[in-house]
Amino acid sequence: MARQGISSREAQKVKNRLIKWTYLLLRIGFGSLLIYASIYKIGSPFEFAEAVENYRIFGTDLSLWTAVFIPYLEAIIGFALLSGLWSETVVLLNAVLMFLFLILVIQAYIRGLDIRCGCFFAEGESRIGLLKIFENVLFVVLSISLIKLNKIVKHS
Amino acid sequence: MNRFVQIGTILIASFVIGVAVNQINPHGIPLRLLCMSLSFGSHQKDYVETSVDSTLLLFFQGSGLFIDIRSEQDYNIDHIKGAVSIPFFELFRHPENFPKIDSTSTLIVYDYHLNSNRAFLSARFLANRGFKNVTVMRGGFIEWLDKGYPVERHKR
Repeated sequence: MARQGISSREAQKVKNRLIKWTYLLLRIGFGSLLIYASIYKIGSPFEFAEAVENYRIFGTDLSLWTAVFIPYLEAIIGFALLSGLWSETVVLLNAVLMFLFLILVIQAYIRGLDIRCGCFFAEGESRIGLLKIFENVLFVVLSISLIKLNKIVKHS
Repeated sequence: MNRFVQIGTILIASFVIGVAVNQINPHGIPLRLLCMSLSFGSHQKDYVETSVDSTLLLFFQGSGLFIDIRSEQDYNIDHIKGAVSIPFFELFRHPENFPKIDSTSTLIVYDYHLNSNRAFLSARFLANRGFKNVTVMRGGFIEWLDKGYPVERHKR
């Protein structure tokens, strides 16, 4: 009985450690991703505004305002994720951001827009397609997992 | 701190930092342009609006330079005869590439759509850069095409 109790406690310890490491990994992963995504956009806001306008949801005016606002929101959320500041709020904002990006990509795909995503501005960035949707679904799922893990870690 | 206060702080900080950094960044989106996009700031019109028919007169007089602010792909399909292609975002991104012409020359800006905000923004931008005779063609290229006025088509 006693041995069983010890092994279940150890299993719990391993589980907790696994949760903590996964949480940390996701936080660092999303934090770095968002900072990386914001760098080029901050340096070339007109190019980003054009990429936003290509989605044909926002007019020119809103595209310009979005290009001024979104990269800094990404950077601030990114730094907050890395530092652990206001973690409950920040993981929530991160998930909202990922969900919005997913909606943008899906609507562009449904409307048959042959455009680049404008997400990272990397050389040879892929165009909107099923692969991009899959990538964004994955980010949404991981960001929701991060919210859950954050709750578990904070309450443990 | 309350979650809503945290969200508000992050959003406001992103916005304020975004606007501020864009003023410092030489490739940034200036506040003047952002305000223009919302029709704030000067209510004094620094450009003229003309109908497509009146613009045709200017075309035959050969007294103005037509500036096509649509995308380069659209320009390559067809454009007003003699027009130069300066895509909207390119105009703001690299104003130094704008043709070196006398500031008293007449510039006629046109976009594809009927009453494009982009055409008005470009016209105000050019007027702010010292061009004294800037005209926006109301009705856009679509009306010019509908009326069967002279265009240059891409030779296949």
